[in-house]
Amino acid sequence: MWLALYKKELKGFFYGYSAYFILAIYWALSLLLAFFFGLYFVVDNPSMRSYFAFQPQVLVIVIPAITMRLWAEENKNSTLELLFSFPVSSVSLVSAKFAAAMTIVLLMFLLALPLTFSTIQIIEADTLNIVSSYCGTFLAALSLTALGCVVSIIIPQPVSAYLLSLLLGWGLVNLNLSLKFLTWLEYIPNTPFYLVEALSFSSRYQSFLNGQFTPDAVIYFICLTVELLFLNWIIVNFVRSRK
Amino acid sequence: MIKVQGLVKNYGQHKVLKNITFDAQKGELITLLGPNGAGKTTLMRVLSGNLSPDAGNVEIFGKTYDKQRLDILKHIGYMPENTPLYKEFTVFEYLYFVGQMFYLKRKKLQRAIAQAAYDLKLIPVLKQKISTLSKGYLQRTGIAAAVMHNPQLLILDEPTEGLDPNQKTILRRYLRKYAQNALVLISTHLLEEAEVLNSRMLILVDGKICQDTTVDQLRTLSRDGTLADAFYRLTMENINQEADNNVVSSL
Repeated sequence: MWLALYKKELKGFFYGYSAYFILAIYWALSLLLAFFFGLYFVVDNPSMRSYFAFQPQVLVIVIPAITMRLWAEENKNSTLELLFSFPVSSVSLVSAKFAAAMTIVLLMFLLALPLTFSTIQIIEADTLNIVSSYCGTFLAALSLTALGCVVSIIIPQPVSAYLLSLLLGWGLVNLNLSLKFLTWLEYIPNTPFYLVEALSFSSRYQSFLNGQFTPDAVIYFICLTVELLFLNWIIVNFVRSRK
Repeated sequence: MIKVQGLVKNYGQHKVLKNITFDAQKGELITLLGPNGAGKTTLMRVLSGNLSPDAGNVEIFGKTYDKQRLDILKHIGYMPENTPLYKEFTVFEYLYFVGQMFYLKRKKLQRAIAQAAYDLKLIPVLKQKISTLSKGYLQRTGIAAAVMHNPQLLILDEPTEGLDPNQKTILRRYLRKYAQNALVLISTHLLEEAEVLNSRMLILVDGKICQDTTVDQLRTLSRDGTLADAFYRLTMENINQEADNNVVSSL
């Protein structure tokens, strides 16, 4: 039953070619940023830093395009009422949709593998550091996908869901910058430094790029993902009974 | 099987259902009739668990949605208004998917699909994409999906909307047969529907059940022997009377 839901979601992605479009956009954006802004073949790149440094920004743009359809599209097509009339638990619905979205994200990462293999062939690469960077990117993607799922159930219009996910995702990835901006605007005049550091998405991601596979960073991303999925589950239950 | 007591549902300030009370048993075919905006779809949504009441109690199979939602849903077949379906599937794939949602095993599921497709004349389009189906086939696919797991309670919101006369006949025959062993609840604004099905009628006006009756009983209220006149007297005259009273009281 869970598998049937998961397959339905995947089928939805490939119907109308939206998945192919998303994969192409991800691939093009990643390479563009790595080659033109990250100067991939110009600077020394044993850990593919030029590529991975831009991944959070690319994921912030691409992942909302995956997640926007999960709930918002069902709402738009009025199939949400049908879906909620099946004797399926909200946990299954949330997890199947999340898993389908993550499958598309994994397909995106697979597209980058030829670049990784060719880099390893050409230069003396730091393989462990590359693996660590992949783990960091995967964990960051988990959190951003969970965030997109939450927005998709709250905002019933797919395009609005995309824009809000993009905005919130950008805010999350650039939390340091966002808090500095708010401080500058005097919304938060005395932001404690430790709070910014404790919530920082980018510093955790950075630790993976540095090859530091720290438990703190892993727990941060996993907790963020679980909390967002839990919130998603609460909202689905609320919408399901429309109390 | 269904016991509804003092059901109230509001959308903000607007009272959609006002103190609805009725019960229904297995073997009944009930037509929910009423003018547009009477609250038929809202009542269907409450009965199918898609909306929760603001007051009152809804018991289905002696259970409530608050405590045993999934247990109730296992035995309900529901087709919402306008037949929303997943367009990326073929008819067979869609029926297979819905069967899986109701925990049907492969062999039982294949038999159920074959039976539903045969009964509702869907065999020619089983391999066709849902996005390419005509309105009649869409409607029947939605109904086939609702009946496949052989639910004890079948709730269909305007199932004959947009069907041609032959398709309506096929569907009505099917519903009459199905209601012999289950409770079938359909909503419509067509009097003809209730007359042909010879069903029990719940007439909803402005969120209230103004008549719980049968075709023959309804006819006795008519001045010219037609159901249309009886329906007009029950619905329009009630509304006009109430509107007049409101105007007078506001003055």
